[in-house]
Amino acid sequence: MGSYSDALRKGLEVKERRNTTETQVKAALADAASDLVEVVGGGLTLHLLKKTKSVAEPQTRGGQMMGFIPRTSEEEYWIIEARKPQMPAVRVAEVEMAEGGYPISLRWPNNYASADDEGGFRNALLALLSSRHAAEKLAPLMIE
Amino acid sequence: MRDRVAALATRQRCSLIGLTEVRRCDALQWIPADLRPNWFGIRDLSEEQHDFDLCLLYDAGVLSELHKEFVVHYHASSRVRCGILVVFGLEDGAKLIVVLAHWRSDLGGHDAAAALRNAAATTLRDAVGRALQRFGFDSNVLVLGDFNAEPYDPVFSALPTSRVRHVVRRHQTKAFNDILLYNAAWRWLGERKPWTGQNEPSVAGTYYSGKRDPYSWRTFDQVLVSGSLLRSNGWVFQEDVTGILATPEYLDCDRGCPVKPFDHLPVFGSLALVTFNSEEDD
Repeated sequence: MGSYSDALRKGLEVKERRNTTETQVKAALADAASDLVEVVGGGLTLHLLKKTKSVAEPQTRGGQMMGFIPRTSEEEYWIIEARKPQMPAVRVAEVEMAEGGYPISLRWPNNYASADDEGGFRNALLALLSSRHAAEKLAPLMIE
Repeated sequence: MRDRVAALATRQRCSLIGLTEVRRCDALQWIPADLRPNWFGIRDLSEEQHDFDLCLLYDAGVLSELHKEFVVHYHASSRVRCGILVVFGLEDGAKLIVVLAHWRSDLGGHDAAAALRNAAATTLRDAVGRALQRFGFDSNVLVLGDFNAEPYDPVFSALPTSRVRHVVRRHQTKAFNDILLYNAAWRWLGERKPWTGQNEPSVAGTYYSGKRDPYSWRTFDQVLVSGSLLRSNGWVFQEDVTGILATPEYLDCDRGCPVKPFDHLPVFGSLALVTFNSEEDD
């Protein structure tokens, strides 16, 4: 059995990796937003926001057969949101991160993209932004 | 290929056909015209061009499409298509999560290819787990694929499978990354038929390399099912009728290899709805 201080050091390393991942994701979104200015116009920002949702907990077969309503718990997830001043914010994709950061999964209609490093995330973001879904979401924000 | 798909839909009466190496074309046209109005096809329509495509054909009279995802993994500048995930509704209200995968052999050098396949396996595991979270942990799971890996390959730790039905039946998925599937392909590792003194062609897997060496046959095509399909009631995996199709239209009996130009034999299986069985499930 390891020591309690080793356990806490391990937890701190996980927290550090997670912070690094979030920093890299936000940097990629900032780069993407500044690049999109020439298409969407000035003032566009892309944000990584934390949300929570209720998920059903697994049930035993006995519980299912008895018709019990499964218990729910709150699960944290993230979204990528596009914002422009004086315009409604637009959700572009859902994001899930592992406890230590990577792998990150990006989800948009008909797509599940996973990335296990910064380069992979930037490529997944490119795939998202080249999708019809992203175009439909961001088009209302475009300058006339 | 057209004749084979037509035969699967008519003679074998398949309601779901997974194709893992089709050139970009409309495979739905291979379904006989009289059946076609009821059939739909799902394939990766992303902008990126591939030599070979994944395609899932299904009979909408049997399977109701509820959700689909094209599952992709990114590592640095590499992009690996992990598979197509589709959630179907079944006639009794149950859900069936179907995954069709093709893990290519040419993913780089040995270590790089193994790393990318592991990443693809992990991504598929998570995608299936997330689908179970969303559609219910009691949903059934069926994974079909040409994995370019045998059942004993370490990649099936990243996409957890077992050859022991009892273990899979007892496993309770507690989180999205906690799935365990039964791999029926373990039964296809050796010669399809035992030696009886009669000289029959060797069929010792699903893929034939074309080389006359000890490793000419491999079991790359596999069928993975969730424990929910290993019951006596509800939707039941019919393992006794699941296996490699090695009839003369698919197997060249003289040469002991798949009929050219194919290098794989098709795998066929069945799920049946059993509405009453007095046998207890543990």
